[in-house]
Amino acid sequence: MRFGMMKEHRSVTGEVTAFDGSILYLPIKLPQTVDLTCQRKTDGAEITIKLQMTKILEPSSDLCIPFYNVVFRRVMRILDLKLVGRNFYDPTSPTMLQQYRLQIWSGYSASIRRTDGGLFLLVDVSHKVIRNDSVLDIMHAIYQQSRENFQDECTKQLIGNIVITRYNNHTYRIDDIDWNKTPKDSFTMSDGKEITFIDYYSKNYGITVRELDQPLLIHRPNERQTPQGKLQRSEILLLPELSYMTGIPEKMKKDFRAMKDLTHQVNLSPKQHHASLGNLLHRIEENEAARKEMARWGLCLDKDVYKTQGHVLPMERINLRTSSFQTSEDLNWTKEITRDAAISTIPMHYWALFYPKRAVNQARELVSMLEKVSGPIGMQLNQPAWVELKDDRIETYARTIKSILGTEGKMQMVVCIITGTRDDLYGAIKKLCCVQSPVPSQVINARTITTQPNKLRSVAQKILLQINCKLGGELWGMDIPLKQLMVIGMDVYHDPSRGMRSVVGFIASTNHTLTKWYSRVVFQMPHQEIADSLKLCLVGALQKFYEVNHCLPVKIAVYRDGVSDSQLNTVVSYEIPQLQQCFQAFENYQPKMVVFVVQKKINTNLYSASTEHFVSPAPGTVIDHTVTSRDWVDFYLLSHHVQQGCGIPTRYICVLNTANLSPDHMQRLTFKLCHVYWNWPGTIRVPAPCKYAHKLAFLAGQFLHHEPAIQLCERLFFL
Amino acid sequence: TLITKNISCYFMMDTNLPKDDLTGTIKFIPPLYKQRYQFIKDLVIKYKPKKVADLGCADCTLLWMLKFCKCIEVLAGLDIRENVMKERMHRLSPLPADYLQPSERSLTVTLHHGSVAHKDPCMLGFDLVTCIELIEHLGAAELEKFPEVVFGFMAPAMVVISTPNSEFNPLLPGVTLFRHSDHKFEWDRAQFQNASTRYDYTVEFTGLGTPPPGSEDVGFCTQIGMFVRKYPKNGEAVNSEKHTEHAYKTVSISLYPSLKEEKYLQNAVVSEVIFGADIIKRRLLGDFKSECKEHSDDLETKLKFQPFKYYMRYSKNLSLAETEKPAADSMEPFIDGNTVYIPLAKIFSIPKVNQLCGTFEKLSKLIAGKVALSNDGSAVIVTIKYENEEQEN
Repeated sequence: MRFGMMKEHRSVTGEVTAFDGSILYLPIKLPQTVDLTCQRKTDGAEITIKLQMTKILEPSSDLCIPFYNVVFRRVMRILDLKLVGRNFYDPTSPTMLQQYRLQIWSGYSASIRRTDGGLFLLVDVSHKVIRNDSVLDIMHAIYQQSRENFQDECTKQLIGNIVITRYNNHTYRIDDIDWNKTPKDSFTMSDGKEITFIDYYSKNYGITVRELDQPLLIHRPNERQTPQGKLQRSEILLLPELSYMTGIPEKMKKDFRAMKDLTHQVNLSPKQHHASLGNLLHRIEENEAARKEMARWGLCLDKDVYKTQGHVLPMERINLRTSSFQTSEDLNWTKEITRDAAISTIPMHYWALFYPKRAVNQARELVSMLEKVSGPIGMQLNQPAWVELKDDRIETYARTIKSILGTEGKMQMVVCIITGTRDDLYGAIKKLCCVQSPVPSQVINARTITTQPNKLRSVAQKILLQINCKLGGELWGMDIPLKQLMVIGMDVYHDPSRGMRSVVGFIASTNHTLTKWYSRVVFQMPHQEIADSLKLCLVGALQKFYEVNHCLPVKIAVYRDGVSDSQLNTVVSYEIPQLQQCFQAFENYQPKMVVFVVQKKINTNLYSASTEHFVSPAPGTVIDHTVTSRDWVDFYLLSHHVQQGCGIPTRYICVLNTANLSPDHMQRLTFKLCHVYWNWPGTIRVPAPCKYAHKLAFLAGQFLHHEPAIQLCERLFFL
Repeated sequence: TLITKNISCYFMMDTNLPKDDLTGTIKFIPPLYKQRYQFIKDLVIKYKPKKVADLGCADCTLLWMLKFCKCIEVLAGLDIRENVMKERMHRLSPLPADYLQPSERSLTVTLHHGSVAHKDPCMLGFDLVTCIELIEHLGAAELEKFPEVVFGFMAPAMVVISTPNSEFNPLLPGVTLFRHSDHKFEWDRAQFQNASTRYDYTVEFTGLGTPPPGSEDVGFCTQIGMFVRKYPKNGEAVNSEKHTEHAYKTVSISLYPSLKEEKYLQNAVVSEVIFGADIIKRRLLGDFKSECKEHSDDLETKLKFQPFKYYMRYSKNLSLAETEKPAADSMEPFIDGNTVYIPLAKIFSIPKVNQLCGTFEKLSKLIAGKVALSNDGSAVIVTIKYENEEQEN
C-alpha cells in the first residue's frame, strides 16, 4: 500500500526512487518537508504523506552501496546476462565438454565496493560448470553402476552440491534426500492449501513430471530469525527431475586429463582476462539502456581497469643444515633441497613396508631408490620390514598393520603401497595409524612408481622428504627477525555429508626458527564457523612452547583462514577474546598479538603493467593502498609463482595488532611464512601454518572423522 | 453458454454479521484477478493457440503464466505504461536452465509500448488476443477506435474481453462510483453486450465471481465476452490497409532457446551421440572383460598391461546384447587397436538421436566437425583410454 502511494507521486519525487517502506532515497533534493495526499484504495480514505529530509548521503556512503549493486544487477540483466547464484553468466554460448556431459558458462562476478580509493566496480571473470543432466538422470546412472549401495552412493555424490531448477532462477544446496517422499506427496502452499508436487508443477509451470516415484531432494535454508525473534527452520523439497547439478563432478576431479581440459577452458591469461573485462565495460558503454540505468543514480564507469603502483618484497634466503641460498625468480628450490642435507633428519631404523603381492616389484624399486636418494638429503635409512599382503582388501591391510604394530613396539613409520585411487582404503589406513594405533604413516599409489620410471627418483625424493617431516625432522627454514614469536594457523573444514559438521585445524610453532609445530583438531556443531574450543588448543600449544624454550612467546601471530567479510566482527568480538583468555592460565602473562584473517577466494586480480602486455605480477607483489578496506588494515600479497591463469593475490586483513607491527613487518613476515610449507619446495598462496591447518582439518574431517591421537601432535603427520 | 469447469468461484461470508452488512465481507478465493488469469490459461490449454497477445499486459503476470503453455510460440504484450511493463518484464526472459535442455518449440516474447487505439502490423496473425480489464481504462476517443483495431485490423481467431459488471458494485465494499479511480466507465451486462460488435465474430458471454445467494440476479462480478471469428481467415484478406506503419515501440524481445535453432539442435545431437557412443563402447569392452574372466584368472594380469591386443582378437565375433534387429554387418561396432568404431547407422538407431535428427543426412551434417569420425566418415570413433591413468600427488 505504502509503495503504491509513493509511486503515485512520481511527479514530485521523480522517476528514480528507492523506498523501503519508511525511508525514501532520492537522487535529487526535495524541499525540507513535502506534504502529499493520497486516497487509500481499499476504503477511499484520504491519507496524508509527509516527506521530511533527514540526511544527505555522501555518494560513497555505506548506505548507498546496496543501491548501487541493485542498479548494477539491473545493468547486467539489460545486457542479458543471467544471474546464477551471485554471479552473472551468458548461457547462450556455452563451451560444451560433451564427453563429460557438462557445459561451461562464462560470465562475471561483479559488485560495487567502497575502498580506500573511493567507489570501485570489482569484476572478475567467472565460469559456471553445469551438468547437462538432471539430478534424476544422474541418479539413474548411479543406479546402473551400483545397485546395492544406491542410496549411499547418491548421498555421497549428491549432497552438498548446488542445483539450479528448471522453472525458476534459484540455486539450492542439496542438504539431504528424502527417500520416503515422491512427487505424489503434497505440501502446503503459502495460502494454506495442500497440493501435490505433480499438480503444483503442472499448474504453475506447465511441467509434466515424468517419473512419479523419484525421491525428493531436501534443501534447508540457513536458519533465519522471524520478526518475533524466533529461529525459523524450514525445508524446501525439490524434484530431482527438475534440478540440474552445477560444479565439477567428483569423479571428474580425480580424472587428470579431464581436469586439464577444464582448466584449459577456464584459465585465462592476464591478457585474456583483461580483454574479457574490457569487453564487459564496452558492452555497458554501448548499451544505451544500461548506461541510462547507471546514470539515473549518477553512476558512470571508467573506460579501463584501475592502474596503480604496488611494490615487490625482497627475495628471501632459505637455510638448510649447512648451506643457505637466495631464492631464484621462479621461487622453486627443488634442486637445492635434494642436493643438500635438510636442517634435521630422523634416522629411520624401524619401518614397515606393506604391499600387495602383485606390487612386489614396485615395492623393491621404491626401496632401492629411497636408499639412493637418502644420502644427499642426509637421512639414515635401514631396510624396512617387508610385509607382503595376499590381496589388497581393506580388511587385509588393516589386520596386518595392526598385528605388526602390536608385535613390533619400536615401529617408527608405516609405509603402504596401494593400487589405484581408493579413498576407502586410504581412509582406513589413516584412521588406524592416526587414531587407533598412533604411528606416522605414508600411503603411496603403486601407479606413481610404475607409470613414469624416469621420474622415480624425484618421486622417491619427495616421499623421503615427506617421511622425514612426518617423523619430526625439519627440512628448511628462514631467518625470523622477531624473537620469541609463536605463529598460529587455523582453518575450518566443512563436511557436506555429515550435516555440515565442521572441523577446525589448529597449528602453532614451538621454536624460534618456526620449524617445529604443535597441532590439534576440534570438531564443531553445524554452521558454527568460528572456532569454539580454541582455548584448549592454545593452552596446549603454549605449554609445549614453554617445554621447548623454557619461556613463553612474547609475540603471537595468528593466521586465520576461511572467514568471510561478514564474519570479521565475530572473529574480533568472539574468537580473539577466547584466545586471549588462555593467557590467564599462566602467571603474569600478557603477550602481544597480531591476528590476520586470510582470504584467498577473492575476486581481485592483479596484472603487472611493467611490460608491454599485462602479465602476472612477480611473487612478492604487494598492494596496500587504494583497493584496500576503509574499515580494516589490510593488504594484498601475491606470494606464489603463477604458472597458469591470472595472478590472484591473497588478502590479509589485520583484525588485531597489539604487537604494533608496522605494515612492512606484517608483509615481510607473511611472505616469509609462505616459503616454509615443506610439501612444496617453493612459495605457496598462503602462509605455511594456514596450509598445514587446512591439511590437518581436511584429513580429520574427510577421513578420520575423529580427533587424531595426541601422541602425534608434535609431528606433521598429516602431510 | 460457456462452462468453465476448472475454475472454482467461491465467496466467503462472515455469518455473524447482519444480512444488510453483507456487502462489507465479499471476498473471492482465489482472488478474482487470479481467476481471470487462470480462465485465460485454461482457454489456451483447451484451444492451443500458437500466437497470443495480451493487450494492456501491465506487469506481465498473464504473459508470464502463459509462457509455460507448451503450445504457444509467439507471445506479445502491449501496454500504454512503459514503466509498469518494464518493472517486472525480466520474468519473461529465458531462465538459465532453459538453455540446458532447450525445448522442442520455439518461443518469442515481445513487449510493445503503445495504445490499443493504434494499428501496428506486429499484431497481425494472432490466434488469441486477450483484453483483461482493459476497456474500462480507455477514454472515449480510444474506446471508439478499439473495436476497429482489434476486430477489424488485428482480426485474430479469438478475442477475450473482460470488464467489471457494474450491477455487482453495490455488493462491493467502499465502491461508490467505480472500482478503480482510473476507470473511465463501468458497464452493466446490457451495456457490455450491446457494445459488442458488428464484426464477423460470434460472441458468448460468461463471467467470474458468482454473486452471493439472494443476489444471483446481479450476475458475475467480472463479465467476460468471448469472440470467435466466423470465417477462417484466407490469405487474400490481408488488405492493403494492413501494411500500416509501426505505431508501437518495441520494449523487449526475449528469444527462447529451442531445438528449432540449429545451434541448440547441434549441441543436443552431439551430446547424445557422444553419450550413446560411450555406452556402446563400454558395453563392448565390458563384454570382453566378462568373457576374459571366464577363460582364466591369469589372463587378467596380462590384461592389465596389454589389454587391447587381446580385445582385438575377439572383436570379430562380437555381438551386442541388444534388442535391436540384427542389421547388416555395417551396423556393428568394432575395435581396432585403441579405437572403437561405431558406424553412423548404429548411432542413428539410438532412439533419441533418431528423434532429434529425423534423417540420416541431418545427423551426418550436424555432427560433422564436432564428433571424431573415421577417415571415410562412416563411423564415430572413440579412443580407449587407459583407465586410472591420472596423476596423483
